[in-house]
Amino acid sequence: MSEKILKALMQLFAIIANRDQLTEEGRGVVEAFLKQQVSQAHQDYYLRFFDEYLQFLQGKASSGKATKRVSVNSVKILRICTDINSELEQKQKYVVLVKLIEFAWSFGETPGEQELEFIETVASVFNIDKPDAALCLSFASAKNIAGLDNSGYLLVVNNSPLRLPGNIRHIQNETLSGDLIFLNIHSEGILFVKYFGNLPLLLNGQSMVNGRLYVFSQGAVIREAKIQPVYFSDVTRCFMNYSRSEDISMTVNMVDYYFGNGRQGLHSVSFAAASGNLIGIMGGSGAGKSTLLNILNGNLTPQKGEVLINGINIHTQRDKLQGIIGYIPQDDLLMEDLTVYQNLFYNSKLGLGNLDDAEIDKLVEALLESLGLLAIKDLKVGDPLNKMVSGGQRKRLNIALELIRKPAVLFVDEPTSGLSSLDSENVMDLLKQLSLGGKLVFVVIHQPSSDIFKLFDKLMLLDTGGFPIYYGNPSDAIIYFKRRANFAAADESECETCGNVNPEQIFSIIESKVFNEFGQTTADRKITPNEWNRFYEEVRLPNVNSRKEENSDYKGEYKKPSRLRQLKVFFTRDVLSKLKNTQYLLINFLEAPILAVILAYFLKFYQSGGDYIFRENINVPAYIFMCVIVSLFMGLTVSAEEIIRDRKILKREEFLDLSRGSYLFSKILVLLLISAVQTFTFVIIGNTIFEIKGMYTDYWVMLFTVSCFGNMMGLNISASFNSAVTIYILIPFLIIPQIILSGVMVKFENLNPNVTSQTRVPVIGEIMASRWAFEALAVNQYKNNEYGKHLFDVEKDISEIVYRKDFWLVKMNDKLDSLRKGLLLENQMVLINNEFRSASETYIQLPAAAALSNPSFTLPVKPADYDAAKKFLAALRKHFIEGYKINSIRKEAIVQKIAAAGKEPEFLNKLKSVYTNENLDDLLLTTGDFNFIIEDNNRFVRRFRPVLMNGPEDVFIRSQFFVSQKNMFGKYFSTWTVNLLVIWAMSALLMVTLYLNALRKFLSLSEALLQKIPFFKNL
Amino acid sequence: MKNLSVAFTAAFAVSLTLFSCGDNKNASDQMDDTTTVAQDTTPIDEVATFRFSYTIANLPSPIVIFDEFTKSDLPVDVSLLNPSGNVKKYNTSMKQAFNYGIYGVDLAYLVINERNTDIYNYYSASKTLAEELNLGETFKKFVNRFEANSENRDSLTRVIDEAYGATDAYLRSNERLETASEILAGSWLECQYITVQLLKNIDRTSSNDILFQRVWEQRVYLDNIAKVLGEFSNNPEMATIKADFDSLLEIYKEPADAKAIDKAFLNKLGAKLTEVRANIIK
Repeated sequence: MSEKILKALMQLFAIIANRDQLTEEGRGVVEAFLKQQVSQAHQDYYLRFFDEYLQFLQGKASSGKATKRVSVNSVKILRICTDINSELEQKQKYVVLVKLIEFAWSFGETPGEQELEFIETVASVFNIDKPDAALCLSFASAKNIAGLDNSGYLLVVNNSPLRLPGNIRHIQNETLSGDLIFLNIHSEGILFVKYFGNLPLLLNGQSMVNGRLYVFSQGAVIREAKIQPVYFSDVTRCFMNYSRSEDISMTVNMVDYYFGNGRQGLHSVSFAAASGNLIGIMGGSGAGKSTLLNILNGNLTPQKGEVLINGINIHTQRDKLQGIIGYIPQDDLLMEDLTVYQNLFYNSKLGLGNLDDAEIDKLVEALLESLGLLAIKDLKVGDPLNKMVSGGQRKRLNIALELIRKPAVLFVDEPTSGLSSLDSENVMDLLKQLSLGGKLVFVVIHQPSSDIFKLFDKLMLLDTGGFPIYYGNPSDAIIYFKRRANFAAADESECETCGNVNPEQIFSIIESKVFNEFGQTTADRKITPNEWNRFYEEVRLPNVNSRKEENSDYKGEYKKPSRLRQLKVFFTRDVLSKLKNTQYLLINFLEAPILAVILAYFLKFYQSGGDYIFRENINVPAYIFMCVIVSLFMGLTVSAEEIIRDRKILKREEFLDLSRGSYLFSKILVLLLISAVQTFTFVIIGNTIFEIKGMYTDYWVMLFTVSCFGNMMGLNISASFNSAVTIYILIPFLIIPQIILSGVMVKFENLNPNVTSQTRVPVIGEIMASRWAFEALAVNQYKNNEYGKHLFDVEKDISEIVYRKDFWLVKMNDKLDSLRKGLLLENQMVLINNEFRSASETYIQLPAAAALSNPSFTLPVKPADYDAAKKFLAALRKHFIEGYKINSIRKEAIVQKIAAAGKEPEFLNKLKSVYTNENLDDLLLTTGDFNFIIEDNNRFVRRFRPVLMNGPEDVFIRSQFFVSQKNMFGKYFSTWTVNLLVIWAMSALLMVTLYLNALRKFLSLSEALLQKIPFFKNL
Repeated sequence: MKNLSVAFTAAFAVSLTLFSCGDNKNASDQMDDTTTVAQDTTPIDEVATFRFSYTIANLPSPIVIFDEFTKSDLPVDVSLLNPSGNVKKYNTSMKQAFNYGIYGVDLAYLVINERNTDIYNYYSASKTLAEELNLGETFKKFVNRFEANSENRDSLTRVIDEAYGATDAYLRSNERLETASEILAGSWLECQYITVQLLKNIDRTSSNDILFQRVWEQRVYLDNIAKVLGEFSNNPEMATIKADFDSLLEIYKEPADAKAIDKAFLNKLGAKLTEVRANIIK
């Protein structure tokens, strides 16, 4: 009771006591009243308040006459009540009123007219309407059950089977002696209770005094060791004319379950249960409690037997039972960075697709209020180590997550573990109320207290190895086991005096050990699980209503939202949760700038004392390479924990049958967003410090692409492995090959010859995203920088001419000469024919080409063929020499034009210093050895200035490292475009494997195969 | 047509002796190609070709000159050389070609005087320009030999000679007379510059008399080079340089014979050479 109510009451009590001259007696009553309401220290405080006010009244009144006193009091009453009016809620005013009535009637005699008038005055000032005031008066003043009127606002709970006269509602409770009477003030939704009887009843742990009036608040329960508790929901249900529409019956038939390694986890479990029951599943460690729960909720599929809900098999016809089953696992499945409200809100949006935000908000608020979580709704949930809300509140929130969509069958795994006894009781009371509300609730519980044990309607006991050994009334369980073990006083299930049961007793009986001849306990049990199971089978009744009509009408409130809506909810939830996690934000958004500063600053080489010249910085290739690796790494780390962190939540949401695609897509979207920002800051800062000018967009696009690939890798491993540690150990395995096989650290030509090739990037390199990204960035930097872009085309033409003229022609002439001398083998003919055919096609404008359009060199060579070929080669040489001249003039003109464009004389050099880089040029123009032309696959292959050449025209995409154009579908595209597409294609592939959960499936398959090998089996 | 092919053949033969002995096998291979190609070529300036060949035929190797320096106990002054860092400044093919010639002489000077610390820088500067001029692959053939012999003066001299010889042969077989002329002019200029800068500070004695005579002899080569360059002076950049070479010729008109090469002349010539060279290496 709040301080305001108490103070108001003290004043009003003082008025009554003063007027009736009952100061001494009144003081006693007030004292007794306070004793129940507040602690000793506060009692004195309020009593002093009462005394002072009484003295004040007496001092004023002593001079006047009695009649005058009444009028003075009336004025006082009005003033106090007006004060109260402004301070108290309507509900609280009802409490003041009934307490006042009770006080006025507590002096043994029936109060007179004046008292009634006084009460009426108070009621009218409080704006309590007449019928309600009358109800309060009659209820509060009643001294026994007979004194009540028979309105429908009353409920009596007693052990009499007889209904009461009139509209008085009635619940029979055989264990209760005396009468519990409830008053329902419908307009305010407030319940009062009075007890007439001699049992030491406890209302929420506070003892109830015979005949005194109490507020019966939400979730309240009246207990006594020997009685069946009376729950708030029992009472409200009675007042609300509640009827059960959704009858659920669950039947479990001979369920056997075997673990992956062949061990049997459950032995023919059978039972039936119906809605409105709270069923406890108990057993020692390893008895298979959680296994059973997971079979009942459909998570695990038994090898034998069936689980039916209203005749529908939950394992084979799951889709018909959508939304009926709710599961609350032992661990908290909360989004730790979201508030209590947000957790519930977004969860509801996923479960209640048919409602709009406002409706869901209403539902959420109502549920939070009913679970007593409204006060903390804006607190961040926090993780178990960094608690923002208490364990009990967390658990209640977990339950709320399931309750919001109103499943008919609820499975709860160890809801009380780790909770204080008070929290445990609260949580179990909540579950009890749910079952009373018509739900079927299964609870796996470990060591229930006596009170909790009594809450269960039914108890399922499992013994080690998964043997069912009991199913029935909890109290009867103790008697059953005592009897079986031939205990004395076997029929006593609970302590005679305190009414406590000792659930542990059951286990000590079940597991009691055989003593040896020295009186020491041995490891052998007196009665093995198997034997207990046999006893149980003997007494077990056949399943009642084992086959009910198939009936899937009941759908709960569940309505799956559309995929798009799911995506939206997943996305918003994820973003919100990330935004709330300051540490996460800080690390992820500082990581990129810090790495950029480190990388760019330390690699910014120049001659000490001089100015920084980009052209002379020997670390440019290293910088580009590290950019790629850093982006990949950032993408990987930011995503590697994403799914595994949500795994438990996903497990719960499995029951909602939500779209995995939507979930993954939301993850991908969020990660892409983060990667975009990360790579953006990285490029802006890195390139600015490093002074790579004018290529921000290019770098960002490529690094973002690489980061996304990293995201996809991260998500794949995140979805496939079982622990965060494994994932973090795995990251180097993914990054190191990307470093080594990128073609930068070690040239592809210099890899082990078993894996590499001299004419194209080896396959092992092709699967590295780093190689594609580095190549694209390097080639792009070379080709499209502010200086190089003008000269690239002409340089390319020149390099083709130089190659043809200085290498190809020389080789061809050599071949022809050897051919004439008869030094060539037969297989070389193909090469010669191929080369002449292709050259005559390319240089068809030369008259000498015609003779070689369909070359057929044979051994020995025909003189005519030889002459034609020589003639063609000579013509080609002439052509190339002219071509070189033309192109060098062209190049010179371009250089002059660039130089002329700048106003200053050194413009050209400045341009070069700022935009080009010698080391990068070296890297892209040389091949590491001097084999500029090699024979491969009956063709000559150019390995001369790779960046100035095209990939092979007959191969899809693949080519040498650093070529500037690649063949795709018969057309040439820039390496930039092609590589970008390749990385996105790789990412897309990873998206598919992610969606199909391919890696996880592969891993479990390999695990299963390993288990077949005896060595691993025994591990 | 016939004339031209003769000219080419002559040019080739001479080229072998430009920087002493060349790579015989290589050159004869190339020659074979050249003669074939020449059969139906579009006419190039025959006068230029002739002049070019004529000039080359008479140009003494800088190595020979620098050897004479050593014999005459001339002081070594590395600061005269074109700093190797300048290589980054050369963007036009003309500048690249001239300086390729200059660096070749500088490299020879360093090798002869065994200034091993600087050799690598000049070698890589030459290499850079060779690549820019698309002579790179010819030049590169000598990379390994250069590196293997970097401690041995005589072998190194030989390698450099061969490398320059090979590039020259390459250029002419590819009808890149302009580039070849520029390289030649560059190396003549550098050789003359170093000689004059060293001589102008010492007295003429019998032991170094030959060097003064060499300076006098150069007027013939200068005349030829100026005429060859004149063939390409439609390029405005080249026109200025041609004018510079002409002004050098003017200075040579003063002394009557080799005996007239005195300090005053050398100072005057040296000043002009510095000016002309500065224009090229800047």
